[in-house]
Amino acid sequence: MKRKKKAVKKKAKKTKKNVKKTKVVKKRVRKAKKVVKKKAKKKVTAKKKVVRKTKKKAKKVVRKTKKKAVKKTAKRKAVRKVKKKARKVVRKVKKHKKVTKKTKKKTVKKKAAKKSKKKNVVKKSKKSSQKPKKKVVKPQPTPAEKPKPKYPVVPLADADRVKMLSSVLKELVRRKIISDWRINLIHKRSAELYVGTAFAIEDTLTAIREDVTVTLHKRFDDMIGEVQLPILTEDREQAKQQLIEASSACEHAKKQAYKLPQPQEGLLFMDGYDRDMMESFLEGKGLTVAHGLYDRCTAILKELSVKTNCMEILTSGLAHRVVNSEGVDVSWHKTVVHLKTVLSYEEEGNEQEYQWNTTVVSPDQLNLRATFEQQEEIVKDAVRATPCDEFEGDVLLASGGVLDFFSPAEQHSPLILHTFAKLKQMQIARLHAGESLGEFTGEPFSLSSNPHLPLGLLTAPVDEEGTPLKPVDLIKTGLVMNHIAPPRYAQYLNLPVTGQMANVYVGAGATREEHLRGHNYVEIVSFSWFNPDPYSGDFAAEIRLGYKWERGKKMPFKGGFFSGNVFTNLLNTRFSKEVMQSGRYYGPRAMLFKDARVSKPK
Amino acid sequence: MSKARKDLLGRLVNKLEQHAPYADALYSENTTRVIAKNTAEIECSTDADAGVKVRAYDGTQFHEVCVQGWQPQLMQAEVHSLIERLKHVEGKTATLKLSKERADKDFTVAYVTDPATVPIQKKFSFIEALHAKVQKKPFINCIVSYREEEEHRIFVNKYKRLASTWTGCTVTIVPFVQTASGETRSDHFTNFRNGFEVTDIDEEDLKAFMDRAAKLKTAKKLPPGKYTAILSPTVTGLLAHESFGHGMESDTILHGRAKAAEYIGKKISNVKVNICEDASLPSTHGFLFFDDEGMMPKRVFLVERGTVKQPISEAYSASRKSFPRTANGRAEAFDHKVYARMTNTFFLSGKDDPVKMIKSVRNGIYIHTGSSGMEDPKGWGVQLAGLLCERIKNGKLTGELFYEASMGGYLPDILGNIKMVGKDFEIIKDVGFCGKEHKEWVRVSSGGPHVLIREVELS
Repeated sequence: MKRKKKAVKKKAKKTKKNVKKTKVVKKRVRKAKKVVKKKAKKKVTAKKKVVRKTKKKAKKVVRKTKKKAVKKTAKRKAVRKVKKKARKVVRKVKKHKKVTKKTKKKTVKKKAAKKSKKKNVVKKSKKSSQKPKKKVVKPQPTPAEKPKPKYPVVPLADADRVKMLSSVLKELVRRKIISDWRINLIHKRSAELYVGTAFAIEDTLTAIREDVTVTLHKRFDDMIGEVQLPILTEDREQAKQQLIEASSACEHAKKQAYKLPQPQEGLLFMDGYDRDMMESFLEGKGLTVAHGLYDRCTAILKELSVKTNCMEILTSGLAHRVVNSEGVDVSWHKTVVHLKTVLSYEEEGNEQEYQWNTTVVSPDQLNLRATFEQQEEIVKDAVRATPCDEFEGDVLLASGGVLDFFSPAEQHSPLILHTFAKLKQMQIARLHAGESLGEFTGEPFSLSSNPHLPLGLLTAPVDEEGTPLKPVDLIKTGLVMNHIAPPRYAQYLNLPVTGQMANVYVGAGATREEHLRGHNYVEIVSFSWFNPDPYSGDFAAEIRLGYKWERGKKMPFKGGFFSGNVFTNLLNTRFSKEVMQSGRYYGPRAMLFKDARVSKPK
Repeated sequence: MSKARKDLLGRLVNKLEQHAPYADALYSENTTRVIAKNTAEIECSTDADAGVKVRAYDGTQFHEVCVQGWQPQLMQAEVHSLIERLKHVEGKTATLKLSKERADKDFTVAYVTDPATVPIQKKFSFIEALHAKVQKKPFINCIVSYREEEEHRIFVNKYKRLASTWTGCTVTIVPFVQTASGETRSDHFTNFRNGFEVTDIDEEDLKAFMDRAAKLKTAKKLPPGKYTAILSPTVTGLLAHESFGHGMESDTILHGRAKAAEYIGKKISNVKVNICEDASLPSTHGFLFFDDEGMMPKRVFLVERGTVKQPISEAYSASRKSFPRTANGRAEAFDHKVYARMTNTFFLSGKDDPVKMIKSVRNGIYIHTGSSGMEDPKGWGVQLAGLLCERIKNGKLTGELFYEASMGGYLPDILGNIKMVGKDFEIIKDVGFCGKEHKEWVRVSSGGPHVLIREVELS
């Protein structure tokens, strides 16, 4: 008993010391007191004197700690909570009587330490939140405390080459040849049909492709050397040799250091692919997808009164995977359907053609009958088209024209390109966050990057660097809000990290398309090539087919140039309420440029 | 290495030909290394692609299987699956137009300095030094890049066993200026050679280019209209490529998509106009030892003395349309279809002196460069974009620049209005890539002499 009393005394003394250091340790002291109290009460009948002494001492300790706690916290509720917690701990201690005193102490200490950490962090963040100028310090869990999120590896992305390369790269890190790395894998299976006149299949092609690209980083104090190279070999030693040779270039390609993306919880895996189609490719039956689409197309095209000159049906199933030295390992599927048709029509010896190209994620996204019937009308109008006249006024772009403007096939629109942080870093960007595009006389528009668009061509959980993708407002009602900033440029320019550009999402307009059309205007159906200068935004695109609308009647024309500047023309533009989705674009189906110009060379 | 690969490809071809009238195999390996510097950073990247395409012709259509890298087992498995497919095809008769000349050769391109032997440090040093030289006021930034292409190909069919190695090096300079209104403008300078000798850049050419680029800051927009225009060799090449190149592709003609088909054998312009296609032209970006169907190149006249001659072709459409075979069957990569594609397309030089040509213009436009173009083979419309123009007044270049103009019109009108063809000729510095309707990119080149055209539509 004497030993017990001594231990209690020691505990009490220790708690006194701890109380001065941290609040949470106080809890432990209280717990100890309670333990002492309860134990003492039980023993009172047997040894009153000893009990009285211990009670007195314990009461004194309690009073002292209470007073200190009350003084410091000034929150009675908190004290009660602390008491309750202490009681709980005491109960636990009772239950685990068999456990040695030492282990008891350790467990209590650990719990107390954890709680104190959490409380400290919470208090710090509360304090910082009161001062808005300072940044909120978020808890940075160490890898030991928090397990890295793991995502399932999708079929076709579990290449042995990734495993082999990961182990080689880890070895190079250990040998300090490199400091960080990233692997990008794209496994692609394609099935393609090339169709000539009279729907005759001229070529059937199937392919298996696996692109593996490695990015090497090597630290030089506050600089970082970066080199990117593809690895074609499956031989470990050969790959290692290639990587070591490439790493020597890091020394010459130094740039400001930046951190690679970290693994993150809560990645959003939206439907970015057609499941049935992907399954066909996984089963090695990709050609059935292509043939299925061929049958659907030919059944409709045979009914039309125009000729089908040729058709290309390109289908593929892909698996993307990004792995980096920070623990990022994300994979996802993608399906792609590219359809090209060329229809022609002849009238009085004049034959014209109309070519239609589209790239989508799923064959179900193709409204084939409506599209082909519209093409039939267009190609017939092309035959009847007259040479262009000079025109200044309202110019309308619909469907394909809108896609050319916001989401051209081979490149980014200058509008999007100039929101790239890379261009800002190069000091050649025209758009800057917080600035307006200019004085709007038309409808201020909104544009964003949307990686979560269902069945969008660029829908993905992360970008190629492994940065989690989220919708990002780039332009909101005419005001530049954000820049497309991968980690590197975000850190250089102190911008929020957005990852790379995803699907183009343009806000719908306020006017219905039929009202947008009005009475007298020019509608451009197709350009020879809408190819604005990427830096200046200037364009002068030849019109392959257009309509001049006068009092509800349309007159087809061809030739002449639609000229202007992407940035300035948008200041006087209105957008349709109706939206459409095609490939990597979601937004208004039509747009009307006010006071625009179609020139006819004199 | 090449012999062993030729042997294996040969065995695959033999297997397939037991089930189809014709088969061939192509292994292609492309590597591109780029070092690029601008004021903000320096970057180094490599891109590579390699794979095998094995195809069989069943008398009606081609069947192709493509496998990345060099994976003999997978290749054999894919060929086996192809044979299974061919077993269901009936009435196999060969009607393909092929070169039956037997050949077993290995080719290597000629260069002064093999880029592979140059240490990477030297390449970085060159880029650093060149950037330091050109990055001056008024340029807000300047991208200087060194690009190294390496290509290995092996082609095997029953007549031929061919292998080739080709390298190409390009130096590009893209300076940027900003106008008073905040508009960013740029121009580009390229130098191409087969080896590291590409770094020997003509100082006078570079100075003239940088002086012109500095003036972009005050360049105006060209008022739309019809002008008398003199095309520089670069723009002449662009016109040759866009106007006659695409319109004379045999597969385009096969699908009834080219108006040129109606003009074969007919006069389209004056006798001064000669447009050629020639993959054998040395030291060019479009050079080939053989095409992707094993055809050896030779000069093809698309237009000879103003008359439309023969199209460029690949095996399938040449056979269907009874066109002569030319070495223009090309695919973007091992897993792409072979189309009829251009290589080096150019106007042949004439007899007119370019200096006198400028002196002959009272009021007109000199077109220095163009960034791109688009064809319309059916309507025979042409669009050349990104043109940098300079006004000619009383026979002299005035220094008044016009930025981002476009040239368009009906091809027979444009060719019909060519009045003078220079005696100069330039092709080797012009480097480009050509797509077939926004895809299927292949390396090409174009060029020619100075050309004077009346009544050309510019906007």
